[in-house]
Parts: sequence; structure tokens; C-alpha cells
Amino acid sequence: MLIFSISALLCLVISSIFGFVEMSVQGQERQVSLLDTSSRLAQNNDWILATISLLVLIVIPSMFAALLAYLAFSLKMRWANLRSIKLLNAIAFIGFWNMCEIYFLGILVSMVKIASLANVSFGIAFYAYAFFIVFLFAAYMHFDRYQLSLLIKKNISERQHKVASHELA
Amino acid sequence: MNSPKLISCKHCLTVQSNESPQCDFCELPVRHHSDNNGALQRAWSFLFTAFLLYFPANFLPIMRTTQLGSTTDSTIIGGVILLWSHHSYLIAGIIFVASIFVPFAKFVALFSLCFAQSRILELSAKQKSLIYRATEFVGRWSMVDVFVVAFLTSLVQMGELMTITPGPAALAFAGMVIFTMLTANSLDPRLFWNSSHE
Repeated sequence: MLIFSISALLCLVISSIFGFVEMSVQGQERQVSLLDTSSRLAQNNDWILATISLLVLIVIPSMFAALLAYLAFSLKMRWANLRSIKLLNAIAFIGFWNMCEIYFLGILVSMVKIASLANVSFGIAFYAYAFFIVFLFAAYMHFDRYQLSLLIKKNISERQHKVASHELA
Repeated sequence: MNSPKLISCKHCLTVQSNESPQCDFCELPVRHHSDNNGALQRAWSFLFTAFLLYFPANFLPIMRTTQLGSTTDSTIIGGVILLWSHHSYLIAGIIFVASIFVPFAKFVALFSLCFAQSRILELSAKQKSLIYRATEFVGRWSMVDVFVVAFLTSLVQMGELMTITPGPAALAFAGMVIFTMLTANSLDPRLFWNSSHE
């Protein structure tokens, strides 16, 4: 889970920096990045749609990957505590609102819609976003709330046992 | 034989006696089913809001295309018909299922669940759970058409040559999907089993 979530975060950073899709019509060229989806909507004064796009395409998936990475890291380092239980709930809630794979399908549908009108080519960011979805999905496959809460409980009881044996010694 | 009354903590999933107000393990408050009476009212209000948004989402234009000075409005159904006429059967099928069939089926499912919980419709706990899980799973996929419009708006900005802007239905459609997701989220699936025991 740790490796997959860190890889997902890296891919998201790459997809936010580079060009996403390039389109050319009758000599005019235009390149868009991942952030352009919401910034263009904001420029059109569609503030609510811009906010929804920003939240469900970038903010929520990145928070989701970052929290998964933090949880996996804290379990690996045996730092997990009672607050990790709240983190489990937060991840489950955020995961419910994550829509990056639906956005990806939306891009593919858009490509088909404008394929007859313009030449379209994919940039590095497009492939990075595809890998981001794959890695995030792989990390989420390991997110089993029941098993993870058992691991957190094991972490806590091990630490308590250690403290108790120290006090006895 | 009297079985002990047990409850699962919603936070850490520890199963324990339902008499304690706090979880034995995580010390967070244990939420009993009876504490969740507001869930059904919340679900009804979200569902009605979503249902009101269903009409502008389907009948108003979702996308405005300006090409060489002339503006064309397209609705969701119009988009599906256009894709079908261009022989893009797969994409037309995806849009039809995600934007027309799924939202309609979701409304039928959510109304059945809310009616069943309000004791107007008779459904078994197993049926309710199955409907709930299916609704929760497919709920987000209707957003695909909103993302198509959002992406095309950012990409197709070629001045006089061709420009795409979102129509009023895009916001209504996004609102409808979000409110149906909130409806599913506010229904407590544990209540399905409660009402069946009664």
C-alpha cells in the first residue's frame, strides 16, 4: 500500500506539471494541463463547477493518496495509535468522493467526440494520470478497514506491552 | 436462548456489548441505530433535491458549441443521438448508460429504499442491502458527462473558430449526482436489518 500510494502521488505531481492534451485545428494549436479544467471553468464564471472539478479531480485524489501513504507508513513504523482509527474513517469517506477514474473515462469520451473536428495528441501528463489511477487503485485494493483496524490494534497492544515490561524491569 | 446484545463500533469495527456508551477499544462514542432517526429525513430531503435537479439536467442544454459565429446547444439525449448517428456506438452506449439509464435506475432504487424505510413499500432486508450496495457503487459514474463538458470547455477554446462552454444543465447534472450520492451516504444500512427484525 505504501509503495503504490507514493507512486500514485508522484504520478499526480508529474501529471500536474506537464501538458495533458494538445489539440490543433486549421493551424491553431492549444495545449491544456490538468489544472486547466477547473481554471477555465472559473474564467467562464462557472465557479461551482470549477470548485467541484478541482475538488474531485485533484484535491480529493491527492489527499486520498497522501493519507493512504501516511497510514501505511505509520503501520510500518509501528506508530499507529487511536488517532489512526479516525484516519481510517477519513480515508474511507474521502475514497467515496474520489472520481479520478470517471474523469479519465470522460477524457476518452471527449477525444472520440472531437476526433472528427481536430487533431488531438496526448502529452506526458495524460499517461502519468493513467498510471496515477492504476497505482491509486492498487493501493486502495489493500485498504481493508477491518484488517487495518486489527493491525492498528496490534500496534497499540504491542506498544502497551513494551511499556508494561519496561516498567516491570 | 437469549443471545447477548452486541454492537459493532462504526469507527474501529470492534464488536462489543451494546450497553456501553463508549467503545471499549477506541473510546469513541458508540452510535446506536436508534440515535440515527434523522438519517431517513436527511435522505428524503437530499433525494427530493436531486429529483428536482433531474429535470433541468435532462431538458436544458449541457453544452454550447460556438463554431464560426453560430451557436449550437446540445442536451444529453441530443449528444447520445449525435454520437449514434456518427457510428460511435460504444461511446453513445456509455453516455446513454452513465447519463440517462443509471440516474433513472438510481432514482428508482433510492425511492424504493426510502419508501421501504418509511414502511410504505415492503422489501426484505436482503433486497434493501443489495439495492443499497448497487446504488452506492454506480452512483459516481453518472458524473462522466459533466467531466466531458468540463474537459471540452478547457480544451476547445479556439476563439471564433470553435469554442465550447458548459450549459446550465451541467451544473444541474453535477448537483443531481452529488445529491443522490449524499442520499445513499445518509442512509444507514444497519437500519434495514432493524426494521426487518421488527
